[in-house]
Amino acid sequence: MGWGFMPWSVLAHAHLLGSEPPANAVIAQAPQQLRLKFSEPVEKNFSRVQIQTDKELLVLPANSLQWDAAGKSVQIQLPAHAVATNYQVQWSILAKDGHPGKGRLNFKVKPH
Amino acid sequence: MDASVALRGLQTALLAFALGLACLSHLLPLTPTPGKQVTWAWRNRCLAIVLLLQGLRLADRAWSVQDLLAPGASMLSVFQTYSGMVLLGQALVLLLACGLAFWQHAGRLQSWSLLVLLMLAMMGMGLSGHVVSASEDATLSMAAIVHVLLAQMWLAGVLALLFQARQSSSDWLVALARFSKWALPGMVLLLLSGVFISLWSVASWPGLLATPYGSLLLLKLLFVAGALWCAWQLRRRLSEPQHSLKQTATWLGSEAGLALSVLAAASVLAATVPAAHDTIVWPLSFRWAPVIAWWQDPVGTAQAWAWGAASFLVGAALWWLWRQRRARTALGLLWLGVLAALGLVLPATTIPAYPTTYMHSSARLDAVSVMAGQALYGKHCVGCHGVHGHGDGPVANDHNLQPANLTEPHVSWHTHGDMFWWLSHGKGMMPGFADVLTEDERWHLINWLIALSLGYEARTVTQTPAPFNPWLPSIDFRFQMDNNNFMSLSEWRGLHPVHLIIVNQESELQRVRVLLDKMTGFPAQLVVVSRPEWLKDLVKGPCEAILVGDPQGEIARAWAHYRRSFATPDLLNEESVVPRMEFLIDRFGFVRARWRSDETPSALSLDELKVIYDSLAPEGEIKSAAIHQHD
Repeated sequence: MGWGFMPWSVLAHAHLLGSEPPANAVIAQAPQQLRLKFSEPVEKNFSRVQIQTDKELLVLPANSLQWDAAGKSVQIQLPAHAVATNYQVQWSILAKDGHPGKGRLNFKVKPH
Repeated sequence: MDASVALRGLQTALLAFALGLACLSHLLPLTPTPGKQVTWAWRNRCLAIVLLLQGLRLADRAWSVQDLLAPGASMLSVFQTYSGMVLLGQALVLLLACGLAFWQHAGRLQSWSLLVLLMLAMMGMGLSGHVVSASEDATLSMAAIVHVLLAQMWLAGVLALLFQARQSSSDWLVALARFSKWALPGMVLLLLSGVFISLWSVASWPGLLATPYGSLLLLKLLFVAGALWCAWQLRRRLSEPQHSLKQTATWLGSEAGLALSVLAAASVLAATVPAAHDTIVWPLSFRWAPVIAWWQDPVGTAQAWAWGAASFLVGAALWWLWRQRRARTALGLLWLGVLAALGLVLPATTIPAYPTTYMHSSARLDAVSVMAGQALYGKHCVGCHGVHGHGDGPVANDHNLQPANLTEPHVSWHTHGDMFWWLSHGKGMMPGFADVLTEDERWHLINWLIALSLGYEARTVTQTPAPFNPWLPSIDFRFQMDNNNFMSLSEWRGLHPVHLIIVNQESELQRVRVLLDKMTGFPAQLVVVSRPEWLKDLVKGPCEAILVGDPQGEIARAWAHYRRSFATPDLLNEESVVPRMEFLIDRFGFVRARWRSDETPSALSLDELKVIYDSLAPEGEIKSAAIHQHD
């Protein structure tokens, strides 16, 4: 009878909890780093992030991502030349529970 | 449906069946019989298929990540990840179990060893699922693992007993009676853990009623209720000395069928976003909100309650009078009274709702968003709602309209999704702005409305925090650290309280200097917001203070919404800038106390502040709708 509450179903899907800069934010200055926080622990060596700006596509290798000990939050240092107005961050992760996931978020830098 | 979910569901059912058949040896006499040989043969077939499915799951696991990773990394992901190692471990255990099951020399040791191995394989099912995602919450994690094991044990028992019943042997009743003794406490624990986990994953009634996840969960609960009914019927029949063997087997078959239906629903749910994380599209034109309904129309609501109570009392009185002579009629009248009462009270306790009512804002309550919203208000809304939101704009006055006063508390009665709907599609005389403002702009405007309304309510915030009453969300802002990295105020949520000082007059920096000199071992993070040029000469001293330059005054103006106090309510919005304001932000992001320099010329000493911060330390997280709508 308890199958109605099976935990593997109730705890489904790793997703992005928040980011810095936040999704859809309009910020005053171009960021030098990004932070992404996920809902579930992530396999650090099997996850990647790429950033599409209005100038270029930055594919960041796994070893350039600085994960916290729990594997839920990642910090990404942006190269100095990556200054742009529109940013789209695309992430692909392999959650610790074995489920792959992907998503994207956008933010803008306020024109001066 | 996801192939991995289907594989897992099928494997779970077969593994449970195999375990159940293996358990039968312990519930029945162990003497080998022709019937028992048939049981073992089926057990072995099931185990072989389970092993094959395990191989398929491993292949599916490697295949599913190939487009995410570098070429060749997908196989590595099986060997180098937690979930891959659990799958491999489970495969090894199943391989051993198969070897033992196919070994011809059956004995008690072999039988027990096989049982242990199958239990280990089942634990693997629990450990390889989303349970690992809850690893930070020990209680939830434990509840999930207990739940998986109990549920699989229950399914194992029901399927195996049904199989035995189909073998035309009556000894399955002996096994059923033994299983039944363990089933009741197990089922209670199973349901309790299920309710606990569901509360976490669904989080709200709207989530249960208006998301695909909620609908599926309700469907599963329907199956669960049916299975419980069958189990109860079985139990009743077992207690009767003379019961029909065929009928008992039919109830057992129904319970097994419902259990498998629930498993199928669970498999679909595995590919569904939990309600707590999904966007709720509300299907009804109303929602139940008795408190708001009361505030909106106290007289009408009171009348409805009075009529409802009267209807119930009349029904109850008639039932009492006629219950002896005309029992059926009396009962009918009682029900009529109850239905009439509900019919009168329920509509009076609901308010209008829209598809977006429970939608979450895509823009956080931060200074940039609030000030962008204020600018949009000035452009599109001032004509009717007035410069300060009092509903006294020139267009409204000219056309004798009565737009809403946006500074009144009613703004906070509505969900952000309600406001989004009105702003998009219009309300009363107000036109919709879906074609004029982008979705993000509408959310910015709503954030400003919320800050405006909360700002008027912030009059109740005093210099001493009210214990266990967080309600005023802090307005977030970004700032650059000394190492050139950016941070947000909200990043301290869950870590430390923040003592925020907004300095609007240079002379007030003296207070900041005093704090910077002496503030060591303080229980809160000090954050000072001021014009960048005033911060240049400040020396941080021993404390890890954060000095935030606010060149446009955006942060100061956004936080100025929270300046109002009972002493300086400024209801007409005529006040000039407050020279310095200090805010106590608790570690969950709520403003709990405020000090204005013009109201408290002798600022609190560090020791006095420390006592106040320490008083909040024992408080745990108190969930508040206000802040979660912004997360």
